[in-house]
Amino acid sequence: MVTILLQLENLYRVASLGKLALPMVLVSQVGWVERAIAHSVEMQYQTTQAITVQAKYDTGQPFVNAQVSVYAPNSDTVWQTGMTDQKGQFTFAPDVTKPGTWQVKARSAGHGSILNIPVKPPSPTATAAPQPQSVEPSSATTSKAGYTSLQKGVMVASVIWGLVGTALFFAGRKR
Amino acid sequence: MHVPDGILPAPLSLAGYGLTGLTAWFCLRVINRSSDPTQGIPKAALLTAAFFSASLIHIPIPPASVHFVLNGLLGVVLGYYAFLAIMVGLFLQAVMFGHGGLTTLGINALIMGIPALIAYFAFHLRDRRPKTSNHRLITGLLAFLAGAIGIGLAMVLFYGLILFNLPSDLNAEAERAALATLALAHLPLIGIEGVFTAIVVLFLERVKPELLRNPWFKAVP
Repeated sequence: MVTILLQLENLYRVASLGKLALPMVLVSQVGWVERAIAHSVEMQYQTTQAITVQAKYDTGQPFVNAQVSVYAPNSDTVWQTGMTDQKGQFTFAPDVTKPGTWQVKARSAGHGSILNIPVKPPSPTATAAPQPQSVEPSSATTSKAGYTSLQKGVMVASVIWGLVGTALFFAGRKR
Repeated sequence: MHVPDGILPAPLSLAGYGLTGLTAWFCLRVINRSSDPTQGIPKAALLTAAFFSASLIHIPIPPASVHFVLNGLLGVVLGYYAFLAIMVGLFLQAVMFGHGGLTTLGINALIMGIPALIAYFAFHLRDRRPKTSNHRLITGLLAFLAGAIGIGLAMVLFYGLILFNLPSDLNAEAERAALATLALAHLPLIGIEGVFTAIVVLFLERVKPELLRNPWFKAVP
């Protein structure tokens, strides 16, 4: 039996903007812990850096069962595919020997988004230390900073006011 | 109905911009040749505001939540101005809320704008026949039809474009199933938009019927 431990050290939720946003959380240490050995099956564990991607609609609903494609830096071929879970999350462990900008695409039924994730090369201490090492959590989102309902309301009101002003301007000119 | 960035191939987005440019040029030319080109601007501005804010009103229809598009209504009331109003509305939606995207602005303008123009021609079939006692009924029915055509045709274009441009690295079967589910969730919207368009048009017909007239269709007396 293999237990997969997923420790979320820090979860930064970044409010979304747009039809769909992918706040990314660089977070976790995934450890495969040895539990059972039978018939000479050897098991090992290693800790590795994993990235959890959270996808949701701008209404706040999680983007569930979306197809996720992960692209390694400077590569057009898919490195890994998967699906988001019921929370709209997808976790993968990037190959740290390929530092650069990893790209994660999520799409379902014509909706979707692309997220760029910077992956740094491993530091010398990371390979030497056997115990889980804390990684600096980072986060990013696909679009600009999220807006609160109040900000959205002000934006909508100002656009409507601009358009009403246009209407009044041309209506007034006619008379 | 809004195609976001990165879903369709780049040449298609470019073609979308090209076709939208041509259509916008054509609409502007027709408007410019009318007796008073600025006459329709006030109502076009007001309906752009309605179109812009309508997409923020979500109607929960399980399993998805859909939003108003109102392109049929814009077509009926604005005629050739509708395409331009939709273009402006889509641009504002894209830059402010990320609905759709800037690369797909052309595609989205075609998806929603062309059905709006068709809805306009469908509604103004009523001017092709003399006014009879059941004029109000015919106006209501044609308005319903125009509203339904606007959103219905936009849906067909949206799903068609997505379906015929599935990238090879995608599980096509799963994507088709997801598209079918979303399309089903949007079906009630056709009826809702049709009824909403009919209500608005019948209201305008009663209080300010000249709003439904335009320079391009002369009603048969």
